[in-house]
Amino acid sequence: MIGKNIFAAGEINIDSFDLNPKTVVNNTGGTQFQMTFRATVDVAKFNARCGSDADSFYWYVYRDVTGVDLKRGSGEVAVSRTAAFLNLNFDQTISIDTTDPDLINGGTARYYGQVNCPSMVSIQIARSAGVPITFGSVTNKSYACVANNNKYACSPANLTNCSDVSACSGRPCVQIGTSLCGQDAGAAAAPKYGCNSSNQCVADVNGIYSTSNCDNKCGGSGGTTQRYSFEIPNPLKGGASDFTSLVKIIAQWIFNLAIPIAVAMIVYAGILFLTAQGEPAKVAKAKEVLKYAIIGLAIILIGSGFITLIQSILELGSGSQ
Amino acid sequence: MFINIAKAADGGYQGVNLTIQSVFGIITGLACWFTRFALILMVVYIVFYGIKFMMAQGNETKFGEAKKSFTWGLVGVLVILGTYTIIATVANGLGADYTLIVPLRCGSY
Repeated sequence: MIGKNIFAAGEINIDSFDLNPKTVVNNTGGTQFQMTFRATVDVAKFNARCGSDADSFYWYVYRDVTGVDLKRGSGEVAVSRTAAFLNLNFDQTISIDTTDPDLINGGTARYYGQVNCPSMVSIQIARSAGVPITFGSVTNKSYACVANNNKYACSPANLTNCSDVSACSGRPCVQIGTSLCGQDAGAAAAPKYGCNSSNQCVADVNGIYSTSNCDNKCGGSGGTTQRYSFEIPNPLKGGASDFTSLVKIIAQWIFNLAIPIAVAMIVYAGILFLTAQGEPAKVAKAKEVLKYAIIGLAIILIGSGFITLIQSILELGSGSQ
Repeated sequence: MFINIAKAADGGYQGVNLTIQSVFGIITGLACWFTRFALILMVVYIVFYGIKFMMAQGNETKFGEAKKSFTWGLVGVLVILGTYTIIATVANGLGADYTLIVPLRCGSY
């Protein structure tokens, strides 16, 4: 089963999560399962999410019950930052408490794998799809294990420890229905997502595509649905966090620009006076330049005061004069 | 601003780091230059008007013209030298704080 990053942005991708056997006949409580749990850690993202000092992450096996998730197993996996992407394989035999009341007399439960940051708050990173396990009584039972070839290997002598099957060495021996002997255990050890010809990461139902975990490996264009949280840092230095303060900053800048221009215009008027040589037309022009320079300066200095002025005119009737 | 384009030292792009903030410096520099130009022009024209007085040689019309020229020239000098006074007066009349905006800091050159 393939992980979907439903919480975060690919800090850890669950490449594979599976539990075997799929059918548990003898539901005695602490049922032994062979867990397939493989994950790829994107170290850069992992550092950002869990902290660069985090030297491990937690894995969990949850039972998926509508409305509530029941923790049924957990462990810790060390993260040694030896590469940008770490492929971690922590397949192991785990014991899952299957004494849920609705399972004692047979039933089906879905279990999923999850990885979390190793912090106190234990931030959720990714969750796999659910693996359905069937519990219940089956008439023809046989002890078997899931062999290396992903098929059920039944014990010919029906020994409880499967010791007569060499393929079962070191593997949990559980009772299954005899009809399942030799059948595929339904494990999906390899990812069922792959890169197609157009460089998209798509669900690989028929196993045609490359079985490599295609996150970050399909020319950057993933076809899987991922949830990314991102934010654009404010490029405006100086504290402009809304439009009004941005306008204020721009206005201040234009104001600063206006003062040297005012100086230049007044000096220009002075030069016109100086070079007029008493000619009335030139003197008149110099006067105009000086007059409008001063009017312009006054308008600049009033600036946003005009808004207050107009506001006060509009509120004449309020009597708050 | 965001990308430093000027990398002349290592043989990269040629150019000056020009930011929007430096526009203020350029405009200020132009205003300062213009003021210095006006000061030089002031001296030239006062000397010129003095020559005009001399050339009048007591001719009433020419003397009157020279006097008028000189008077308006003095007005020009007053305006040029009194630039910051004018700005400060206008600002003060409007109640604005002008101590931060004038005089322009022109540097020592």
